[in-house]
Amino acid sequence: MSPKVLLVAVRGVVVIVAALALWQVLYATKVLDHDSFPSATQALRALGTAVGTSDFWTEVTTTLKAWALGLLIGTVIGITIGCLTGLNEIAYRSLNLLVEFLKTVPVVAALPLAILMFGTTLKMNIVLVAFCITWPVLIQAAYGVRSIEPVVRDTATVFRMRPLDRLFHVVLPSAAPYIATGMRLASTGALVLVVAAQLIGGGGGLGYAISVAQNQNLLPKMYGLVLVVGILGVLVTFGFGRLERLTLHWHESQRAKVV
Amino acid sequence: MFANLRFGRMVRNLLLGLWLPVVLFVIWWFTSKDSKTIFFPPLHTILTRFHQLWIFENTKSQMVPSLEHLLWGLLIAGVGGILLGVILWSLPAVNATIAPLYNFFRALPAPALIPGFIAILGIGAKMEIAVIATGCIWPVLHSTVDGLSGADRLLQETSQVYQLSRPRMIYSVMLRSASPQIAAGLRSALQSGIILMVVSEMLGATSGIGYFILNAQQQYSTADMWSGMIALGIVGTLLNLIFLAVERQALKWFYGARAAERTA
Repeated sequence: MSPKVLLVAVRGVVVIVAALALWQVLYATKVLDHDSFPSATQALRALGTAVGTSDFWTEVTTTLKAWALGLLIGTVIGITIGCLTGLNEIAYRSLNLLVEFLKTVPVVAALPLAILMFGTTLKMNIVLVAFCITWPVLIQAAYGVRSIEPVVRDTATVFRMRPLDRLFHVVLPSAAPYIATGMRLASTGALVLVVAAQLIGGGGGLGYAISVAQNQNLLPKMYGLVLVVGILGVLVTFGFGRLERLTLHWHESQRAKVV
Repeated sequence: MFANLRFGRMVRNLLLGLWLPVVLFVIWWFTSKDSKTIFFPPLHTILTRFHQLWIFENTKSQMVPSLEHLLWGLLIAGVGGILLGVILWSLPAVNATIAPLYNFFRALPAPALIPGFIAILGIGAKMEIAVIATGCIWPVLHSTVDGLSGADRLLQETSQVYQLSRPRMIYSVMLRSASPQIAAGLRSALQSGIILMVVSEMLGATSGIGYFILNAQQQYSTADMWSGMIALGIVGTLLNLIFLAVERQALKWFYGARAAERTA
């Protein structure tokens, strides 16, 4: 670890400790209402107890599973349709308006319908996430395919590449950075959606656990779980950018950042 | 002649864009015509309910209050985010120190905070506005700091040469040059604001569009639920379009300059 990274890490830890201390002081001086707010130590202790139980880990994995499976399904559908429409002008124009509209429809609106159709299950969460991921990935994939350099495309034609080779060696690599951007932007929204769906509709997971803790008036545990949700959010938000740089290091859009 | 050509292409693109939605609508109409399943009532029932409910009685009683809360929350988040962003940008040491903290809140899925806000503020408008404001301030703050830090150093030095006062420099030079990025932050704030509006009404309200949809579902009035979903879809899309139109107008100089740069 370089000294600079170390400095940033140390500073981060110090700030987090300071924030928790501030929380504790606000509680002790009764600035925070004791009926609706636990102290930092109470929340952390409740979280510590929860971490020791298997229930907690089931909730974490349920949330992550809903997010990851929804992301996977939505991405596969989005890439497939996006690449197909990106290759054909008429198909692209036909789908464009509809997809742009579907992208702006707030997916939470469909939550009650999803609950009705699938019950309060993991499946309900996955379907919602997949729906929310599909459109941005589709748009980005189509955009990426359409922006393939004509020279590259013509070269593939001159070499008489077979359609499958062309797909895996020309089309997908060219569209990959665009698809990655679409996935990165949609993945944080997907986590928000998972938490919201679990809060309202259940189906297990951290969102559900938070609403249960609230109903049982276990405020310290509730705030502890909110912290865990925040950590997942940080992992998704910043992990995705890191992953993008690792897997697409060969692409010029990533290379530019290094310089 | 060229104008004609362009017009023809526009008409063709519009027709190409519209045929699929029309076909899907017709398919929905006829496959759901005699539908007995509770999830998919006949489309004409949904549209009749939509007409009865949303033109305009419920729009006034359910949608407008929701949008008012959204507007207040976004206003607080927008003004607060830009102000805080300017402050943090002018204090780089403070900014670097508390960055991990606000990155945490930026990454935290905001709906998780709603039960806490209900515990503190109870259910109702105040809670909803607070949730929207807290959830939406982070993208604005982040994009303001980012935009200000990314602004050309030359701009700042030029304003110093012209001896502009610091508030004047921040307002007329720096914020203006950061505005494309701030607009992007505001756009993502709008999108999360709509989500938070709906979710907070589903969890802790006795009126509003989110409450209406969930309540209709719980009473198995699926046609009403569908009508609410359609109303929300239309409003969500309209809000996005209005924002884009305002953004295009306000940032005309930016798009103009970028287009000029590209052709140059």
